[in-house]
Amino acid sequence: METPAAEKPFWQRWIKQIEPLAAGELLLFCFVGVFFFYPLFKVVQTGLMFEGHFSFYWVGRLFSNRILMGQIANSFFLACVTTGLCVLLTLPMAMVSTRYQFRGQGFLTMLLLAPLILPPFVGALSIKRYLGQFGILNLVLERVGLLDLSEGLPPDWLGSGFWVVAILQTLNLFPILYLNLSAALANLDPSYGEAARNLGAGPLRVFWRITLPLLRPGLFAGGAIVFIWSFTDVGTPLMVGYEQLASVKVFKELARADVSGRTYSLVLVMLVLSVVFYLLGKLVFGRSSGVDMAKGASASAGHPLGPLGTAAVWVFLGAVIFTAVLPHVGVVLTAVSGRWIDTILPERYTMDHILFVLRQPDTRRAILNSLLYAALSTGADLVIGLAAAWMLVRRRLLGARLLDLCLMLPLAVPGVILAAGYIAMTAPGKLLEAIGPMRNPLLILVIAYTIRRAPFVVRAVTAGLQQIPEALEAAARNLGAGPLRAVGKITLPLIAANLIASGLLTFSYAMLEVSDSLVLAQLREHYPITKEIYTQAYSANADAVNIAAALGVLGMLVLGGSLATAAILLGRRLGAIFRV
Amino acid sequence: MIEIKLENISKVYQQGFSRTSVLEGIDLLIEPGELFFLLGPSGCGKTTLLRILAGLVEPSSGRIYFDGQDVTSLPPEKRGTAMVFQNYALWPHMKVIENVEFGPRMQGIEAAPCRRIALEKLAIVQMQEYAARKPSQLSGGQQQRAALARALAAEPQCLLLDEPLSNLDARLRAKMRVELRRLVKSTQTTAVYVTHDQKEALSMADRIAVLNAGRIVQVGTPQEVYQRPQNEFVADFIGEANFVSGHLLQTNPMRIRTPAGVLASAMKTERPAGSEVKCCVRPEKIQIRGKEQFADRNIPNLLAGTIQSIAYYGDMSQIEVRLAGGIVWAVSVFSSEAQTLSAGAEILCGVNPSDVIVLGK
Repeated sequence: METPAAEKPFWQRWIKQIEPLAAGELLLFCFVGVFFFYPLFKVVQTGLMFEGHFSFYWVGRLFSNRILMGQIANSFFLACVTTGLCVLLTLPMAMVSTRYQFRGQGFLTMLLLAPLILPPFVGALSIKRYLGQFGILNLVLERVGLLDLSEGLPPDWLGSGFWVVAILQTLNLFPILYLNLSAALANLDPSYGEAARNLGAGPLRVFWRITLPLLRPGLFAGGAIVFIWSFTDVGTPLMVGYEQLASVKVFKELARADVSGRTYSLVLVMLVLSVVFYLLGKLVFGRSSGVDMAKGASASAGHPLGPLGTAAVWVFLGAVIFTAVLPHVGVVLTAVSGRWIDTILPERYTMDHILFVLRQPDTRRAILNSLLYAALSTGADLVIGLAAAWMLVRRRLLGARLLDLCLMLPLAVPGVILAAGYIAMTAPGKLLEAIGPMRNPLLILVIAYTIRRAPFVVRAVTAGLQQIPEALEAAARNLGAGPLRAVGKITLPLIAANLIASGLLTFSYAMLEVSDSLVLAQLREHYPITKEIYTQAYSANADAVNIAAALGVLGMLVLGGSLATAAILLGRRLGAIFRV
Repeated sequence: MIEIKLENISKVYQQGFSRTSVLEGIDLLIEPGELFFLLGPSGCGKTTLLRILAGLVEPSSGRIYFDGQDVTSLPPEKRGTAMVFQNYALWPHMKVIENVEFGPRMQGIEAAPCRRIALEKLAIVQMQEYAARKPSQLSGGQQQRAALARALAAEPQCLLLDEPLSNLDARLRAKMRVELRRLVKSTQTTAVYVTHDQKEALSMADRIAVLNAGRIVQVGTPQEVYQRPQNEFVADFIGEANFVSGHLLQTNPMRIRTPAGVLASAMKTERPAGSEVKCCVRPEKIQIRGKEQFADRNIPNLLAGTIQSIAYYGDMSQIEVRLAGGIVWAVSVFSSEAQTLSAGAEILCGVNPSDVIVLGK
């Protein structure tokens, strides 16, 4: 017979009172505290220390350094240009794909996501092939008679590289904004626009006065990710060879053996700027317009387009897709080209490079390393995502909203800044030195990947849980299932699509993560794919670019397959994971 | 105040190989200043018809005339209609006053007069004090009034109302019916009102068009559609009705043989004797008495029956009576009257011949 509660010893009663989930919540707070806030604190602390004292010495030096200030300004300008280009490109695309019906709509809108399968950093591998002085563009211009290569040096379309970086980033990042905008548009009650038309506003006025203001949160959600991504992107400028950026400077400094307060002051300024831009954006664009209060909101079926309209849409979307996949095509062709010099297409094709990266110990190890890091971080993300979403949606635990916010913050904090924090945290002589990049970075890389991708999983699982009425679990409990059984038998199967899709995305993004990988993997035996691509591309090997491209192709296959599966599983909800 | 004329309007939605016909051959004339109702069950096409009037949906065929002028191909912003949407469609990013000013602004009116018009209209709907609020800070009833003010501020030629009371609770809905009719009539604007609520239509309309499956089945005043429904659908959809089929024994005056007994009707008919007809009697038009209480057993339409059940609804009670031939009729009586009756009692039902409606085919 069970002992009555009052007679149980004190400690047993106390343990029984601790809600297991609350303990889990505490654990998650600790995890985020140690591996997100503490590294950021280290960045701030190291940047504000001089000779063992709190000081603005390094920050002051930074502000008086015109080269560094110029690099920060360049980074800011680059982020503005990339975000602006993305907005200009995606607004009409989202309007067309949500407000109209046309033949091949599903096919074209799926192809619009294609750029996501290639980090711009890898795409940059092929950009010199297209735009270099003896690149494909000049060869095509010569072929059609617009350029004479025998008359002096042909134009170098790469220029300083700034615009190439901006365009590459735009072509890679626009799908994130597109997904956000089309989801926001699809959720917008069409009667808002109809009411304005009905009261005398023409289509342009309706767009300007009603649609655009109501789209602001969606615009912010996607725009913030694009802006911060671009502001702190390391890989693309490095590969293009444009190094006048603060992020590149940070990367180069962090790779040195002795990282000084000077580097951290730059990281600190970038962190502050990222947060300020984020908050400013949130203030101006991100305020909720109260759209949720609309009753009976319904998605409009879309206006069917005639043959002319359909043709125009195909030309527009087709041109965007064509341009966006050019870097992919370039990478694939580079990977399989046997000889490709001064010709528009390769003269000879070979599978040697692909086979080489699968056989050669360094590249094969990099692939296996990435698989291991990505698998571990995906597992961790799924556990965190499920636990956090459960606490927030089902149990509504005290502090769950705060936890959700903390888990979302990594989206607003650039990878390179967090990586700098990890370097500071694991510096020689520190408590966590053993997991630092100079020893074995497995743990710190897995943690970095986990923290950076957790927002995607939390969002996806939360969205899934919100769509499942609690009554379904209650019914199972009512029929005799215990809490775990109810979750296992009812909830998990119902949110399986969300779990699998976000897991796949997390896995593939971890496979091709750039910032943390470049900064935190410093010994070759621990290199993941991206760092190996970077190393190969800059090696003295004659086939360096081909081998790097072959590695890129393998990455594309993983990311492409995962995205396609996620898109099929999640459908329109795919956009929900790319939100701040 | 405009006259609205619809000529042979139809609407077909085509998706792939499937064709859905939503409206067919709609002809309608709405008088200037009239509060005209489109009444019908869900999916009958009434909202589509309203949206066609607003220019938000293009008809597949047919023409629309405002005061004799063909407006079929005019875009919505040029029609001069103002619509109150079912979900109100108040723009959440604008304050109430900005919502209300929108219409006059679009007509090119300067800011100051716009503000004056908006405040005037908000005063009419008693919402002046909420002018600075955002729509999300209003209750359902307040949102409904703000939406009405927005539509009125545009000073439209024609006001279109799409189930504007459907989101309100029953009490507020009953109160708003009276208020809404008063407001709309005071503007003297032609108004078209869509609803599936027959009580709303009967209590507010000047005239009603009853729609079923994309067609207009009857147009008339509330009294006409209630008291003289032209077919079984209208009789059944508007109010409650008892039906019984039979054969014409005699025409003008009509006598119909039904399984429940012979019924006399005061209506005129052109159908020959022997035709099959369907009769309809409203529950409140039937009198119930004990067998001994009808002094003159020779008066027409006296049907013998047994009380099956009595349901109490407060002021009224509904009695189910089983007549001869297994026919069951519902009878509405004051509850005070029902107190004297009990289930199983043998009674007589009396109906005045003028209350026996012989329906069309």
